[in-house]
Amino acid sequence: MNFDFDADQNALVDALAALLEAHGGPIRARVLGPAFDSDLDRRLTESDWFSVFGDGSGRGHLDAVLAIQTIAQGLGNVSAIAKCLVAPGLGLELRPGPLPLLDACGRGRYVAGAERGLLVSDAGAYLCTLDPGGAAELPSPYGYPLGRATITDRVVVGNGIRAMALWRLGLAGEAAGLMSAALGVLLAYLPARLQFGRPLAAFQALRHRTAELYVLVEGARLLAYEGAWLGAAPEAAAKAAALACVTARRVVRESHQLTGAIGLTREFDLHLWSLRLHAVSLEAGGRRAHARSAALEHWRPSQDGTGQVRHGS
Amino acid sequence: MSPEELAFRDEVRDALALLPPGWDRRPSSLGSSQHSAETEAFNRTLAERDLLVPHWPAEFGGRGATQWQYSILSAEMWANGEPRGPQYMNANWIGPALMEYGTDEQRAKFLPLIAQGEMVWCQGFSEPDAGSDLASLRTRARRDGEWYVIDGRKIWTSYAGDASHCLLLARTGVHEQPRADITIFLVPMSSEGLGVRPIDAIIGSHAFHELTLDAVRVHESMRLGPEGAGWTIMRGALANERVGNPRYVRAVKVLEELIAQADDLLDSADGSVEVLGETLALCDAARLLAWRAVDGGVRGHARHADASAARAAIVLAERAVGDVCSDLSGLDGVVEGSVADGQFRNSLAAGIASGTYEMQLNTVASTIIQREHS
Repeated sequence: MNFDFDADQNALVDALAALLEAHGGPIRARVLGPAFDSDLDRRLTESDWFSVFGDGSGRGHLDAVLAIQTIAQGLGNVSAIAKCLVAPGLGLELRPGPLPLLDACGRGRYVAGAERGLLVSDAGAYLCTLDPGGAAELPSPYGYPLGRATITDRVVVGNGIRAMALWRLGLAGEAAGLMSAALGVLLAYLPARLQFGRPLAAFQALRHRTAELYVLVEGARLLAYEGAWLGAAPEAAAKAAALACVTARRVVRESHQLTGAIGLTREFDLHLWSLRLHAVSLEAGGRRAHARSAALEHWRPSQDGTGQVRHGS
Repeated sequence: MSPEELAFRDEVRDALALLPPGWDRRPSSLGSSQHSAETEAFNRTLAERDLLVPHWPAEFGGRGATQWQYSILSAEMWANGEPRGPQYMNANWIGPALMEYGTDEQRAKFLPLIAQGEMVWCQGFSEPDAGSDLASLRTRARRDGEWYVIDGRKIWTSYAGDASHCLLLARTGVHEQPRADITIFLVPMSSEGLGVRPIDAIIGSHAFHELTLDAVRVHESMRLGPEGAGWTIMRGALANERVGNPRYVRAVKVLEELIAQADDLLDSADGSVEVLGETLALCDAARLLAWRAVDGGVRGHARHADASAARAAIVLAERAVGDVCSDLSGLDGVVEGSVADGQFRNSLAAGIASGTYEMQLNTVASTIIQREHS
């Protein structure tokens, strides 16, 4: 068991973080608003960041999760889960532009401008052709372009359990990146804000709450890494997504509570990560769906990922 | 696991198969850590198979197993009601502390007995007015030639009724820094002037005792390390203790026990399945944090914050398991001996034993939060 990243993995994260610092980050996020970042998408494609999964052997899953996490932390607004992990995991050809995960009503992040979308159910994973003129924008202050797609055609591209496990793993990685950044904002705020003549960082009640957040965030992050290490096995991926969502809610609430009114303003950067985090925690059924799957995969496991689902939704 | 680790696990499981038929393997059992004739016999069995302290160096009775192999062993033990009783304490940190700080005489006297499973220790740390604030302890050891004369009280001492020796913290000087004059003594429990009183507790009969020390004479040869080194020795040793107990294994096993008794829980549509899934994830997060702390130790960059984060996570997990067992059991949960009863009462102690939850959070906070704006 080795919990240290090797030189290649550290180099991957450092290089991607540098790219995001130059072409993503808070300033870019404010300029762009909640829109898909086509320029960043092009840069990530050209420099092969959407190819880190490879054929999924070796460390492909883990490298993809690290990439998704780093892109989220750097506020990159691209379809990172789909393009780094799920599409290559299902053997789909990558194209420029967004690739949303659609819910049963055709809603999803990154619908605007998307030509294709993924629909995943117990019955299978479908690649949907979307009517570009039929997308309806859904107003959302949560940092992502939200919309409802019009599906014109769909084909089965894989097993539903496998596709959902990949998406859950990606969600766990994305949440880990967003949670780390939100926690980082809080950790910078606590020593800087003086009240009653002392920094907030000196108050034990606040230190305990922050330490508890750290414990949960690190636990959720390690579950995501383990899920990747296990090749997005359904139980491991569901557990990672479940704890990521549970922890996300705590991080959003506590980071805003402990930064007070300034944390509620758009002048302060926290919302750039916290609102996205909330949105991510509700995707693909949210914590209840992930947790249900975790329990059922543990006690009544589905087949090897190629057969029918033995348990309901 | 590597092939070597799998083979080691099988070896441990073979030994566990030798437990007497009546041994209570239920993870939710409150008495799972008690000292008994069964644990004594099983410890000798483990020792005969070089499985009691396999991670110790060969010169001290071990076989040089890796820290990971020892983690595997501990996990298997906790999955079977921890049939080593209090021996885990010896193996995890009292023995290693003796190896690192003990004199040749102390090592020769105690380590073989520990390695053979023939010794029970207790730890004399907490006092009536020194719990989390351990550095304020008042038990005092006064020099008298080659001897120390110890007066004071210790409390919440587990296994004191069974132990032959106590690893005891006492104050040996008057310093401005309260941690700088704490010294460790290896005190025979048969010493004149040492009294033991069991304290009835809601978390199992073995749990608590009070020790009174009235002019207890301890020879200087039974001092562990130099005078004033007690805090440093204990702090390092307790980090081992915090990650040495794979409580996450027991927590998951309790969930298994609950499901085994009521498999139809998984058919419910009232939110029970979802709570079980979240609790399971929390247990696994605790496991990974503990493994990371072990890995840090193996790689030589152990951090107290990692050990404390792991300990804090298992507290959250044990409480969550206690809650879900209770909530899904109804009044069965307050029937003595039920899964929910055992786990709920165990979980009340989870955040108190081995350093309170709040102290673990303090340690984590001191690592991640700067007090002043830089």
